[in-house]
Amino acid sequence: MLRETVYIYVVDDDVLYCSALAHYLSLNPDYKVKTFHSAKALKACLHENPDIITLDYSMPDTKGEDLLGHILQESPETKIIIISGQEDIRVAIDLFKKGAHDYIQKDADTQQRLWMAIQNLRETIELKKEVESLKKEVEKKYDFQHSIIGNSSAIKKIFALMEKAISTNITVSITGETGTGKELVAKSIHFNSERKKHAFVPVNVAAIPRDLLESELFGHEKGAFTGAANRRIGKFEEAHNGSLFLDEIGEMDLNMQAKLLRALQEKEITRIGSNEIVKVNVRIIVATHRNLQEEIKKGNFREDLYYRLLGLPIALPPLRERENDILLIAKYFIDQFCKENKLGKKHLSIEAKHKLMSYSFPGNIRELKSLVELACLMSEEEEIAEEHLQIYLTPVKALTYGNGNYTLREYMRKLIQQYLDEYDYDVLKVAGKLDVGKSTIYRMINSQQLKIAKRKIDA
Amino acid sequence: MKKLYNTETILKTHYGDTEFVKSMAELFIEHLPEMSAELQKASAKKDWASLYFYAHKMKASIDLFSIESLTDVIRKLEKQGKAATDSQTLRQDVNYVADIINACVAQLKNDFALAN
Repeated sequence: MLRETVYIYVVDDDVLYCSALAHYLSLNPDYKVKTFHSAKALKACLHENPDIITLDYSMPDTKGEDLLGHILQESPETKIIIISGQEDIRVAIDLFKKGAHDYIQKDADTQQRLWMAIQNLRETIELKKEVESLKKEVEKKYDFQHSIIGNSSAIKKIFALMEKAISTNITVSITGETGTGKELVAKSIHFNSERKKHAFVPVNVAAIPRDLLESELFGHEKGAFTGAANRRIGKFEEAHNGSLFLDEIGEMDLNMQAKLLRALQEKEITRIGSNEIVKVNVRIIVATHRNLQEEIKKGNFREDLYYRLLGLPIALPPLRERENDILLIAKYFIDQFCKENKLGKKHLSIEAKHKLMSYSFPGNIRELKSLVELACLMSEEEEIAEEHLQIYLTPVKALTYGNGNYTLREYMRKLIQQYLDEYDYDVLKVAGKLDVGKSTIYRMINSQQLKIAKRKIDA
Repeated sequence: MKKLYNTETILKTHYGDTEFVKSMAELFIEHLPEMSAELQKASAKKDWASLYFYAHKMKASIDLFSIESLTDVIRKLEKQGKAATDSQTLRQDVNYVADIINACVAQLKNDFALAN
């Protein structure tokens, strides 16, 4: 892990001493050392953001503390080790206060001590670099030009809405069928907003037992209820300064809705079993596959909470309404899957593309993903053929009876049977749909030409 | 003439790298006479800040080459510059430093076969 190059600037106007230090440090092949003999020369190179600067306190052209301030301003990530021939403890304390990382006296042991100091620093720097690169990776992952694929007008409208959500703190409510990417949109909003440095906390309301949801969201004190063995911080506090994503908000029970409403309105929460009020600054993103207005009518969702949560509504379009995006996304998943599994490049045949475009995708992108991943596995060649796309659900029941040699009566019987099966053996409904007399159907049932299974009681 | 310096300190901390010792000798030859001249100028003008500054800078190089005949006197000059006090031996001291430095430079040139 400790293999990264560390850039060190040695700053000392004493040319001999400077060279000796630089040479000593460069004995470690991981260190790239540059020397500077004046503050002016150093200032010209600060934009390179070295990892470590060893600074002689008494440079002739600038005061040490001024130079220290200048470095920290230009390159705040740089760690500064002061090397000084002065033995004044007050100066040292002052320099520490101004942001120096270490202070080493010039004497016979300086080089060894510096070596140790840099070794220690290095681990800190490595960790910092790792965190930085991971952060960038996460940001890149949720840069929504990369994470959300599509050119259709439907998705472009979503991009425009997301841009608005990113630049503000407004509550966002995301609706859409299952598998349309509600959580992905929520994450993309968070990781592109100013809150990206803080936590994104997802809570799936449907997945948490009702009785535990309150403590999950607000936390609890030790002994607040049976089993509360320790104090626990809730998701609201965890998401402080960040974003809280409440998925499947439609599943929340009414009692909890009232508590949530209070938390949102007052921007404060109370842990269960505590009197202390905790202020929280949280951006709320909610998602549901339910139609909340319908739920309000049914009395399952509080109207006041609905309006509080509505904020900026983003309604994700189902995949079948996203035109050519189906193929773009399919290509993305194929490339990704083949790369991850070292399968070599694959592409869809024209017939396979037609098959995808004509399918309705009730499971949306999630379904498309598993469909094409399986197809990648099934196809032996570069081209993914139609038969590799294993679509089990036939989207529309076709009313063709092939080239069977049926009589008109037979066709009629089969047709009525299919309608009966489809409409739960509701004779009146089927009679209306097919425009035949209900007595005709009853007669056929009585003569056992039609089969009735698990018939609901028909008054 | 007795050898005024030794390179053991440098060799020890730099793992016997003789090439590096040679490059340090070059730097010594290049910079130290200049600095001791500045030291003389400062003492003539009684410019205590400069006296302290150059004595302080030379101290590190003198220690690096273990020039024992200057170890004490350079510290004395450094202190004197810092305290801004005159002394009767000042002139004598800085001239002594200059003589030793010049002699060292001659020895180094000879020992490392350096022109200049």
